[in-house]
Parts: sequence; C-alpha cells; structure tokens
Amino acid sequence: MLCGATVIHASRRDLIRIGILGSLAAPVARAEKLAYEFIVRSARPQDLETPVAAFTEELTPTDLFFVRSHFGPPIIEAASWRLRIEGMVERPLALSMSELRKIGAASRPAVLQCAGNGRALFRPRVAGAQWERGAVGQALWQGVRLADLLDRSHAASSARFVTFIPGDHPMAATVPKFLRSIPIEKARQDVLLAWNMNGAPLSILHGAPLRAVVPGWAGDHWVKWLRGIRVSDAEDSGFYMQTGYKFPTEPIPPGGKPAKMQTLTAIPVKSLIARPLEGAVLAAGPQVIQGVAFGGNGPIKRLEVSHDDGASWQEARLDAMRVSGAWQRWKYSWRAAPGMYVLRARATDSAGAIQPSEPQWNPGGYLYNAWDSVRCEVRA
Amino acid sequence: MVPEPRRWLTPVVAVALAGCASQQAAPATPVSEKSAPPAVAAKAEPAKVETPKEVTVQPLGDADGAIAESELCLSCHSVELIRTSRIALTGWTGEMTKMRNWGALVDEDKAAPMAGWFAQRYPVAEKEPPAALISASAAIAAVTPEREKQPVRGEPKAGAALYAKNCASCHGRDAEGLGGGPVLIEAPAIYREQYFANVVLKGQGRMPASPGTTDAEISDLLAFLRQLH
Repeated sequence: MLCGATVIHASRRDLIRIGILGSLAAPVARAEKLAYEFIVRSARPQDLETPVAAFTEELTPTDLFFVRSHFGPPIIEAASWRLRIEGMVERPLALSMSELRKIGAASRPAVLQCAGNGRALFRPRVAGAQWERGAVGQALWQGVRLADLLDRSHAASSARFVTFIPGDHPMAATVPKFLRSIPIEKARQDVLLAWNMNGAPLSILHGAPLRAVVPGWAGDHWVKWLRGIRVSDAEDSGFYMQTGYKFPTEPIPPGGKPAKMQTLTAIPVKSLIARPLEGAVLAAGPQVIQGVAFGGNGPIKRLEVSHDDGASWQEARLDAMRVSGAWQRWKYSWRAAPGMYVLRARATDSAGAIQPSEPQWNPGGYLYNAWDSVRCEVRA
Repeated sequence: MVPEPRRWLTPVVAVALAGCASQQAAPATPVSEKSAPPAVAAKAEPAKVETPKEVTVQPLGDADGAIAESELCLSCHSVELIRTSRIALTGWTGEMTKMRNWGALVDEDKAAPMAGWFAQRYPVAEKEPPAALISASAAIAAVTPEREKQPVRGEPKAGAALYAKNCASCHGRDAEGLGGGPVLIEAPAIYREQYFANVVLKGQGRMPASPGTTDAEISDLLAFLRQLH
C-alpha cells in the first residue's frame, strides 16, 4: 500500500506555525511519482493490483494493468491454437488467429473491473483475493465482434447463451474449471473477442492469444486464454456459473445471510480518486483532486467531491463518456487551506443511481461501490 | 524414484464436535497422510463434505500447522490468499470445507484443528503484513517459458512410461492434478527446464527428491508433458 506522509521535525514545524520560518519553509508537497509496480495480492495464481495513481490516465498502461487469475496461465502454442465455435450452430468452426483477423476487427476503450475490487474494504471481512481500489483499468481493446462469429457459424435462433471456454487449467481435476455463460443478446450487442490491448498483442498475463471483452459488465465475464465458445440454450452447469459470482437480490445487513442470489452482470456506479494519494502531504494553495467514474448502467451524469468526509459536496468537472463501457475522468480544482482532510468522491449515473456511503455487504465481497476515501494533509 | 510415505507428526489434538452435521465423507480413493499416495486413480471425485454446524476445536500446534499449510495448501497457491484472509474461525471452517471439496488432501479429523490454527495464526484484529510489489517484467518472467538454447530433445514415449511410474500417483494419470500434485498440462513449470529439473532432483514441499534422475530422463519427461493439451 502506498503511504507517504513527509516527516518534519516538531521543532521546525512549531517555528513554521508561529511564522518565523514561514518564508523559508521548504516545499512540503511530496512529488507523487507513479510507482511502476503491481501490488501482489497473490503471487500464484497471479492477482496483481494497480496502484491508484495510474488512474490519472485515460488508458491504464499495460505494464500496470491489474492481473487476475483463478489458475496459472496456460502456455499455448500459437501455431496450433484455434478458436472453436460449437454447440447450437449450423457451421461449427475452428478458426486460427489469422482467420479471425480476416473476419474483421473493431476497437473500443472499455473498463475492466474485477467483481471483487474493493473486497478488502468490507466489514466484516470475507474470504477471497483482498483487492483494495486498483483491480480495475481501462484499455483500448481490439478484436473480432462476437456477433460476427455468431453470424458466420449460423447460430440457431433458439439459442439463448454463449459460454466462453477458457484455456487455463485448474490446479487439480477436482477444482472446477472457470468459465462464464452470457445471454446471447449481450453477446450480440457489444462483446469483442480481443487479441490486442492498448495497441499491442495480449501478453500472457492478460489472456494471450484471445480474451473476451464485455463492456460494462464485471470482470468475471472477460474470460482469458480463450479456446472456444459454445452456443446453447442453457447456462453452463458448473460451479462458477451456478454458485460463484452471485449477489443478493435484496440488501442484507453486514454479516447476514442472503435469502436469494442472482448472477452479477453490470458494474454498479462507481468512482475512484487517483490524486491526491492516501496520506499525501500537499502545499496550501491550488491543488487538483482527480480520478475516474464509470458504471455498467449508462453514462455518469455527475461527480461530486467532498473535503469534509461527506458533510458537504461540490461538483467536479466531468468528461463526457466516449462510448458505452468506457470511463469518464473528472477533475476538481481545490484551493487547499492548511489542515487535515478526508476527501470523498461520489458518482451519479444517468439512471439516477448514486454511490452509497456504505457498501452493500455480501458474502462474496463483490461489487464494492461506496464513496472512495483519501486522507491527506495540507500544510502552509 | 518411488515416493516415500509422508509420516504425519502426531499433534496433540482433542476435537469436540458439538451438533456436527457433516456426513462421514469418504472420498472415492481414501487419502491419508499416514499411507502412501494412492495408486493412479480415475478422476477423483470426493463425496461432498459439509461444513459442521458447531465446532469446538483444539487447534493444531504452531509447527504442525505451519507444515500442514506448507504441504497441503501451498502446493496449489501461494500464501498471500491465506494470510490476508482475516475471517475468524467460522470463515476458516467454511474455507476448509470448500478446499476439501476441491481436493485439498486434509483428513476429516484434521479439518477443524487446521481451521483453528488459521484463525489463531491470522487473527481478525491483526493487520496483515504489507503486500509485496512486483514489476510487470518480473510477473511475466514468472510464468513465461525460459529461452532455451536448444529445444528439449526427449522421447515422449519414454517420458510417458517414466511419468506413469513415478509421477501419476500425485499429479494424475493425465497430468490433470490430483490435489497431491498440481496440474502440469501447459504449465509454465514444464517450459522452464532448469526449474523443472531442480524440482525433480531436489523435491519441493511434499514432493520427494529424486536425485538419481538423469538429464535424458528429464528431457523425456518434458517431451511427454509438453504434448499434453
């Protein structure tokens, strides 16, 4: 975790306070350099978190883009790799990478957020990868439209689901394979099977040679290391569809037991503060508070910032949404007076949903979207 | 190269299970640390175990718990997921059930004491140690094949015979993983020749050392394993 209070001797600080050394005070604003390293939530399998400072950029650098794995990455031989299209299709296919590229490509920026981003922040705590704020990023994705593959293989009109068949292998045969089924309407709407990320071929960390891109939906749908897709009239019957990645249909108290669960799909409205960093010490005067806002239920309509832990709010300048599933950066110009502050941010989407002050607790620790929080100090 | 049976240190354990609702789950292939690993099994599907309703537990001793964690958990995943889970005894009991259902080789009578050990070792009130940092290049290197000077020149058929005799009992007949040893299909480990040779020769965790293995045998094993998909 990045932590950065500057240490100043008490005696010097006292002198500054009573004004003697005011004019000679060395700059206390600490240079907020982007630490170019992941935070390791798990070394094996690889769960690597992005430092939030990266979210000042429109596109998250690939070398800092978070990595989530259920299992180890498979070492796939590119020459013999094929994407199989099977199930309720008239023309089952096995397409090589060059054949996929010939079908045609689309490009779009899209936010990928792990369903468990923020899990470490729930109280009481739950089991699972303890992501804090950085299991999220936006990249420019390029690949073939899933709709084009469904057309080319003549998917049956009675088909209702597309299941992504992955290439990663569970540690043992008794561990369920990780895969996802999505409704065919979503598959046709905007899903890409991407081979490029931020202008370069996918690396092994990000699902080489091909991964799903499901704009606006949580990261569990964005299956990596694809081997094939299966068209069917039912969801897959395995653990990861039937038990994993479910969210309570009704709010429950923290630590409670949900009566009914449903598959989680679209990301609820959320925002993050990229600057200042937690624990930052800033110089009094003009400062910028900035970050990103996003959600799977439409564009963000408003982003508000608070300096007093949510007692009062001011509206920030918010970028327009480039395309559905992309995030919107925001900035707030702050005349910072000396003191200790708890900065909060809250987003409202175009459907009227607003981030809550407290998260919706659930046993899986999914979809944390309470107001982000950054403590900082401003010094004269 | 026959694996030696691993003898379990006798912990001082008194387990009182009050109102326990768990079935006496008997996996298809009985596995116990006291016996040799099972002979080559068909796809092991242990009967589903349930979380006991109420458990009073004498946790494993410090040393025994650490050994159990190392040998029964860390063969599949590294320690961060464990030590950052600050979930109290109820949470650990649930996790033990889930892991046993997924093939973790923990005996029924060890599950509750292990859960007790985790709850004590990683208390809810205690802050976990700060996370490590890693660069992208190091993360990629950890899972990427070594650049080998020459490709492996082994005999897949000879490798298959070696594998069946010496490895399948823990790693599965088709290298799919059996809980005792992890999956090897398309695994980064089999594309890192030096690392693979080290593990075979010196052992790792529960995997015994096989110091007499020749370079040719290593190559044969790798040639066999690399054609599995």
